[in-house]
Amino acid sequence: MPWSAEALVKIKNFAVSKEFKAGFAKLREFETQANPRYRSQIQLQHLLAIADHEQGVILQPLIYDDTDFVWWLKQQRSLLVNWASPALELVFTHACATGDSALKSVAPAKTQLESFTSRMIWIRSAANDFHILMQQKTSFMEGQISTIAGCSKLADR
Amino acid sequence: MTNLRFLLRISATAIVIFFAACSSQNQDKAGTVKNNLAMQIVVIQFGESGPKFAERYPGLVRIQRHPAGLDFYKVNWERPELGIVKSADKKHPLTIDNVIELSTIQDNGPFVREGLSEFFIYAGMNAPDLISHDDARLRTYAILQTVLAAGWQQVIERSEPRLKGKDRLNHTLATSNLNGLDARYLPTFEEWMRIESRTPWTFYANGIYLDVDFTRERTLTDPQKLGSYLLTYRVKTETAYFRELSGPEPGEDWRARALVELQKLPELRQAAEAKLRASSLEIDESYRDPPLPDAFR
Repeated sequence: MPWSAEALVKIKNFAVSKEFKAGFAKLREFETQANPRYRSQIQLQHLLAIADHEQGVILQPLIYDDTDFVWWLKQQRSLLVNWASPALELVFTHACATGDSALKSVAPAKTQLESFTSRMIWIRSAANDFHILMQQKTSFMEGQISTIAGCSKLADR
Repeated sequence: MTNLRFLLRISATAIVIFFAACSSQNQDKAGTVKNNLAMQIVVIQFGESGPKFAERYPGLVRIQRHPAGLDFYKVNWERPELGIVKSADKKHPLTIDNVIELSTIQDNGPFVREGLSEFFIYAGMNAPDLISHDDARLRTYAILQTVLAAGWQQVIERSEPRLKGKDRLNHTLATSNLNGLDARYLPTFEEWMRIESRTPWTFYANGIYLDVDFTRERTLTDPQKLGSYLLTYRVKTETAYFRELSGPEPGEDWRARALVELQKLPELRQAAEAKLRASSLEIDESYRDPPLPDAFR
């Protein structure tokens, strides 16, 4: 990837960030917590720690400091970029198994990027929605995730 | 959820974080509010059905139908005309200003008849986007005092020790942000900056549980400079609250599972308190848990 050299410098060669450590701390907390309500909350907080990590350490230096956001969106079809862009809204259709999965990414409204509060809400709200689905519709979601995990091995789309 | 399932979740977040609905009734600019005060105030009613809620606010509510079997109902506001969210019932009075997003869920599975039982409200502080950290501290404290003044009682998780004030703050900082804080205690500036994002203040009033927390913008943590804060309110019925004890994917039998877990919690509290008493910390004997719903008495 031609942009990777510059991207890696910006990502500080994937050094372990404070947010990443916070994520692992939540994982440890999960393992020792007996209260199911707490366990559920820890999962959400862990998800947010990862989103903080990805947004702060990967997404932010690459996107918010970069004037060419449209160019960035085009790159997001590669696995690395999908991994690094949690806040992009993706629509999954059931056609994935036939190789025809349509992944529609929706760029956030400009105001959401420019406003700190709006951006925090965007991430918190998306993580919360995902968390609710994972807690309340667990088997459906795990089924979908396994299928997507399979899809991600498809060639660049 | 087993650890394996938890790790599957992590890999899911690493690959693709979020499912949007397969169909989205996005009423175009629904939620982009024009100069119309009537579009700013939303009154929430626990137990109301999702469709009824959307009917009350035509053009304002955006529905996302998820194939998993629940629908998200959302309202978004943009500056300068932010929203105001109020609770319909005077038994749990609530007024939240500067609301940017309101989100709620209508289950289409076993709990469809419960209607909307949980609301998530995301608000800015009383400032455009940036605020000094000290103002955020004072502003949050003021908001918490209005919640207390409206008659909400504070809640300590049933598995956790009954601490108050500074002791509770120190305990939470040393253990987990989930242990929350005492709303009556005004943290010093130095303590405020040590409080992690998403550390809750939890309240109860007449069958409704409320969590308030702040998120501090990660990139603006210099105490001498301006920061940016999000306030998140989570309000839910006690049914939704206790159902969280039954573990993932609650079904029709959730009450039985929740009761089993509920009965284990006092022991965890006693063990934690025994340890704290040993280090001479004062246990707040005056604290009372909120009443249990009938099904659990």
